[in-house]
Amino acid sequence: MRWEDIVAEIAAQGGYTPNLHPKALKELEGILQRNASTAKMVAAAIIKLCKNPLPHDMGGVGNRLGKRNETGDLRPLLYVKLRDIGIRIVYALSHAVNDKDRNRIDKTVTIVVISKREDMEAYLDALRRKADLPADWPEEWIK
Amino acid sequence: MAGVVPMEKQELFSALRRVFNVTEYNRGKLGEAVKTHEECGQGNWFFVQSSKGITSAIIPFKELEQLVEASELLERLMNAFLYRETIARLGASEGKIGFAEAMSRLGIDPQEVTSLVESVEFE
Repeated sequence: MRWEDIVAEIAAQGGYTPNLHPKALKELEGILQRNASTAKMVAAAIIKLCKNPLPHDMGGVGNRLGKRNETGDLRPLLYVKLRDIGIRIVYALSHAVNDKDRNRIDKTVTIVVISKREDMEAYLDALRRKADLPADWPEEWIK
Repeated sequence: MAGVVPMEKQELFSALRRVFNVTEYNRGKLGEAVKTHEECGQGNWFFVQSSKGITSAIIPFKELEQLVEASELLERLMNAFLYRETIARLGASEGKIGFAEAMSRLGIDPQEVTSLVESVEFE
C-alpha cells in the first residue's frame, strides 16, 4: 500500500485529509533522525487522529486549545498527546467547498506543531503558525 | 514613552487584544504604540512585534470604536489577510505539505506505520 492509498482510504471512510505545516515536517524529520520508531508512532498517530479529529465534546479525540494569558488565543486549534511517548501534536481543522465540485466539502487536518517540549513552548509555536492557516474553520469550533 | 493604557481605554484595549490576538507578552509595547499613535494623530496602522516574535496590528482608537461592533468579521478578515500574506511570503511550493508527500520525502515505510495505528493511544 502506498501513502497516497492510505490518505485516500481515510477520506473514503469519512475522515480528514492530513497536511503538514512546513515547520511541523521539520520537527518530524528531527524526531526521525533521533529515533525512527518514535517518528513512525507519530505518523501512525496522525493517521489515527485523521479518522476522527474533532474535539472530545463533538465525539472526537482532540483536546481544544483555549485562551491563556501566556500564549494568547489558540482557538480553534486542537491537540492530542501520545500516551507514553509524551509528544504533542497540535492541529487545525478546516472544511472548504471543493473548487471543482461545489457539492463536495474538503475536510483537512493541518498538523501545526509536533513537539515534546514543555506546554508553553509548543503552544507559542502553535500561535506563531496559526497565522499561516486559512480561516475557513466552522464557527462551532471557535468556543 | 509610557507603556500605560488609561482606565477609560481598557474596554477598547480588551477589544483590540481580542480582535488582533494580542498576548500579555506585548501588552506593554501595545500600550506604548497606542499612546504614540494617539499623540501623532495618525490614521495609519501600526505593526509592533514583541520579544516573542508575535506581530500585532494596531489601529487608532477612533477607528477602532467604529470597528469593535464588527470585531468578529474583522477577525476573520484579518485571518484571511494574514493567510494571504503568509502564502505570498512562503511561496506556493512551501505552503502546506500533503501527508503522503511528506512521508515519502522522509522515507517512512507505509506498511510499518499502518501496522502501528491500532496501538496508538492518546491521553
